[in-house]
Amino acid sequence: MRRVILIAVLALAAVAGTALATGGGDREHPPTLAQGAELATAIPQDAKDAAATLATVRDQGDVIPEHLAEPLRRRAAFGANPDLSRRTVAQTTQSAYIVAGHDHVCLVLTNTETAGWNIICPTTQDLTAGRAGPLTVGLPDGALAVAGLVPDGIDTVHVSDGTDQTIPVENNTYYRVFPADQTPRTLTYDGPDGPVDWDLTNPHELPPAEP
Amino acid sequence: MIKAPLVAGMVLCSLALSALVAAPPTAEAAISYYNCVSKPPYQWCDGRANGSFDGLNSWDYNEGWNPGSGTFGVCERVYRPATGGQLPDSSCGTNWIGHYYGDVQCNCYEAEVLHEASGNRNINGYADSDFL
Repeated sequence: MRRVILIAVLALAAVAGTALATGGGDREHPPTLAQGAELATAIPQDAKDAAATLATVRDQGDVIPEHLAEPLRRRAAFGANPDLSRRTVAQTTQSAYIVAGHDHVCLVLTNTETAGWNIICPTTQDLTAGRAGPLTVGLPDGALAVAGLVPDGIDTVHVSDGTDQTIPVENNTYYRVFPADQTPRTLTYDGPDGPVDWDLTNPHELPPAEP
Repeated sequence: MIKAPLVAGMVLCSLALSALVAAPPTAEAAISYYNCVSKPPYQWCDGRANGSFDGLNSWDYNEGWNPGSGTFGVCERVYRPATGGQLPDSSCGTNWIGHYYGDVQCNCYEAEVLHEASGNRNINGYADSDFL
């Protein structure tokens, strides 16, 4: 009986969630696999045109560990398929993967210590134009990870205000971890259409609780 | 002689029923869609106000997004009100952000999102307690 009630509640939540997602404005909630999302089966040409990393031959090093790939498949955000991944950054604790979906290209930052991941999914159009926003992650001990995707042709990005550093772009990805005493506030680079400027939010500095 | 087992049975049934009713919440699978309407920037939204607050759970996954037009920053966290702490690696992105925290066990967290727009905006969240 409890199972029946639970299923009913879940179904109601899904319906309510869909209504919420479609009734609140311009952007809908991208469905999960259970809600009918379809994973991309191939990397779209426009994504390859934006990021040549996606056009490379996929080898064993590009494979996301299965315990992290399975929840990605279940989320299926914008159709992003972890079986199409390319690893762009390989660090001891964190690795970055670029994963194509439907009209979106996702950056997945995995963490071996938490056995979890963070994900952003700019549109392919924004990535092509150099307007894909950064991902910031508040790491233990006050450290900050800054990562993001840029199109072909951008070799470096620059962070400033709090620390002043140039970060090389490798495989269409920039990534750097800043210790607690080096919190950058802005990220800039020369995009295809001119200078691009992003504010960087440090999750450690967000308010601790609801007012 | 006959009454003793009957009474014992009734007591056992009563205890079982009490346990069922009074049992602490278990980490059963839950999906939460939550939102805040016209929320000021840099205030965490857990759906309590103008939304669908789903209480404490062992959220494995949390997601936030801008449901409207324009572009602004969105942040997410999984927060433990009893201690004021949160799960590691909370994150921020542009318009949409997702975070898989792994297999969270403690049934003691709120899933929250906030936005960084210049004025009041709607903000939506989605959380799942059984993502693997």
